Amino acid sequence: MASSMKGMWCGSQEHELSRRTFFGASAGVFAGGLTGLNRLKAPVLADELRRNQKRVLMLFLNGGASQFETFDPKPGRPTGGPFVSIPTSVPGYQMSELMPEMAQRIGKYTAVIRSIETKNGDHVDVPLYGGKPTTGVVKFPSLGCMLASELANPDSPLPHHVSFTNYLGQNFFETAGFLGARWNPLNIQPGRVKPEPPFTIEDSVVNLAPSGNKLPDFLTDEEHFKRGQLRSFLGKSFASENAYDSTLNSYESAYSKVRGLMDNAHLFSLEGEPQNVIDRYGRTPFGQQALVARRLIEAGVPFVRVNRGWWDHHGQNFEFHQEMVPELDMVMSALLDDLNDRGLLEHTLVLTFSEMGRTPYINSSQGRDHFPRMSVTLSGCGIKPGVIYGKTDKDGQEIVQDEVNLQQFFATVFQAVGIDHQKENMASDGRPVPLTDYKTEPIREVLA
Amino acid sequence: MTSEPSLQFKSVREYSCDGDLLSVVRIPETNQLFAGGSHGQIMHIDLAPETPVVSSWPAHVSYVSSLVLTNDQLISAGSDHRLIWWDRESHRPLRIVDDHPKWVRALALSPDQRIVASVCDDMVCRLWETSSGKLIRELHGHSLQTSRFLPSKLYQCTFSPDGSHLATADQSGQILIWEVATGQQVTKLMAPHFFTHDTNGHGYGGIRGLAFSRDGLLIAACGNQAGDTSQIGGSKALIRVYDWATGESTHEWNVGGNFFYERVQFHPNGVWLIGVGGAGAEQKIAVFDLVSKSAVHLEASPMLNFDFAMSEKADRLFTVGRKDATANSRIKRGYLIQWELTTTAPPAG
Repeated sequence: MASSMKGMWCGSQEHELSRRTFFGASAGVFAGGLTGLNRLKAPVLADELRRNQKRVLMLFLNGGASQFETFDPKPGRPTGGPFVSIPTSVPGYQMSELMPEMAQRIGKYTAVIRSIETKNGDHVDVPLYGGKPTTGVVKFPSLGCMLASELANPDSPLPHHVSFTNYLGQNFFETAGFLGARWNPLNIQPGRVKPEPPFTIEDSVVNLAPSGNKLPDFLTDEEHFKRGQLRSFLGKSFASENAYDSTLNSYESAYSKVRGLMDNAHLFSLEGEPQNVIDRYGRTPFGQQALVARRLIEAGVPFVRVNRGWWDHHGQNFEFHQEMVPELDMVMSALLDDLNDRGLLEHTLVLTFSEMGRTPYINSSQGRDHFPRMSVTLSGCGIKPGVIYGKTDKDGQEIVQDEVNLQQFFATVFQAVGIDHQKENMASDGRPVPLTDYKTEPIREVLA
Repeated sequence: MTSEPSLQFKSVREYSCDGDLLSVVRIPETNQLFAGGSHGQIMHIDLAPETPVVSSWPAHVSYVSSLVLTNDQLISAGSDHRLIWWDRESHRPLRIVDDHPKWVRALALSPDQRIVASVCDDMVCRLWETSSGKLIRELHGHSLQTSRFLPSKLYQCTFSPDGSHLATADQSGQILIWEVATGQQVTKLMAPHFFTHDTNGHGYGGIRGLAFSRDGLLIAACGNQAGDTSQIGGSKALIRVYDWATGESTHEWNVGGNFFYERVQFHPNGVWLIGVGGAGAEQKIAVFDLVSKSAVHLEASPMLNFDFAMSEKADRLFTVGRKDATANSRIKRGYLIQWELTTTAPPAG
């Protein structure tokens, strides 16, 4: 395909970009799998998406955050725990007292779905895959990978998908499955000072940047650039005398990504951020990583996930949530205000998500255990703020109104950023697989 | 042959109710108590009759976290941010103070009953006139955040036996001693053993219970040591005693198992220290000897204990908490248990 386009370029820069985009997509096809061909089915739509520069930022509450201590409190009930609820900017809707900042902002930015049924009661990554199995012959892609593949400009030097973690515990690393490895996330994890367990928190270093995005000391930027030019020259010489070589293009693509990371290293820091902005997000690792996430979103990275763990409080649930929920409140409100002030929120969808919720029942250790039902939030792009969708009973045990499954939630996310949730990709076994199950309907009540 | 007295515990009465029982205070010279529950209710419980006589009333929205008793009034504090004064006989509310912005964790009553102190998770201790509910002063000094910039908690307060000083303690293991008359902070004790961060960055622990010795020279603090029961991993219950004037730690007990000590009090004999707790794999009532620095008795408790009261001679102990309604049941209920303590003097010679 590449050789058929050779010699047809008119020389204009605009057409050069389009040509490179085409080749980039094609390289992605050969490097990442056959499914990239589907991208060419609706090039007009793909281009429109990329022009509109939609982005998604997910705050993933790893371990199972309690809906009772966040978005669906039940004060005064046997299941309610100690915290009271507070009124919000949405008449009739109350949130946990632990989230006073978001309580003021719900009506301005956010829709809440209180009735998610995950059918999951364990620390597994299945919810990130919409309930799809993560083992088996067909490797389904995660939500983040699907969004990255739909929203990314393949020619961009920026990573398509970045995932931050700020704690040492269990994490769920997403994979793109049959979409191809190019849509896997760049995972930024804490560094461990000690190489082997046991670890304490003092043994970890929170990272804002990927490792290896800086040149070694013995190499200047100019020298590195010249080496890149020589490599490119030799590569083109080779390609001109050989049939199209997918390995060469894979290396080109990989090198471009590495070089892109180096060129954009400044994004993975707080460099240049005013102190009042840093303070607004808070000095915790979660806050710092959320601020870096905003920088990446602003630069055009289409999907960023910031993990905050570990919410799995089988003991001392109220003590831990009293610490972590105000932090979430601070970070989430800072992020939404910041994106809004920069004019980014109308193009950025911000999600809170978790792998499960927590039980209404309070156990002997003052904890809450695993529970398949939970609350999620959607803010910004494509969302009607102030919608409170779904309802649980007075004790938070059963969903009594508007149950939402994971596929419906995913469909809502896709629709919010203008993606057809029934669009099909080709799985590795050759069959078409839609982004969400056939006949899934998004929750239109929360869509703008 | 032991030269120390031995102690025996016997559970003699029990009362149960819906929800957890979180706080208790005893009417002096009686077997009558007021208990506060997780459902916001306060109960007056008379354990003297064959069948306990109970009256209860709705008091707070959720947790009744602390109770103190004057000659004619009961004062309660709740996680709904309120202090409420009640007529002790009629149980009618006399006064509501709504000035705390967060969970009011604990109350303490001065020995002359003129002042009630409250501690709140905004990290402020407030002193109130018991007779009028008027705010006397606020005591600021505890850090708002832990060392990892997360919100801290202010767990406890207690007056010295002569009423001249007040101690407050927080999640980070800070104990501040205040001069009551002036509000001046006179001492800061750092007890970092009570607090840690686990590998997920959670702040864990804190000083849950606090008590001055009978002579006012020592202060005991209780909680948990550097573990993580939230991860079902295990940690150690911890009690430490300090000479608060010098800051020196004089005693430490981290025996008893994997749980939190929630409350601690000095025995009237001045030599023993009693701690109760739970939450974790084990639940205990423990008695320690300050002279020998050993455990006198470790009683396995049938329930997770949140608070306790004792008789004037400490021959009766009243613990409140929660446990399974029946064996292997997931239904938990609040319990008040009356214990008889029998001290056996060592054999002569």
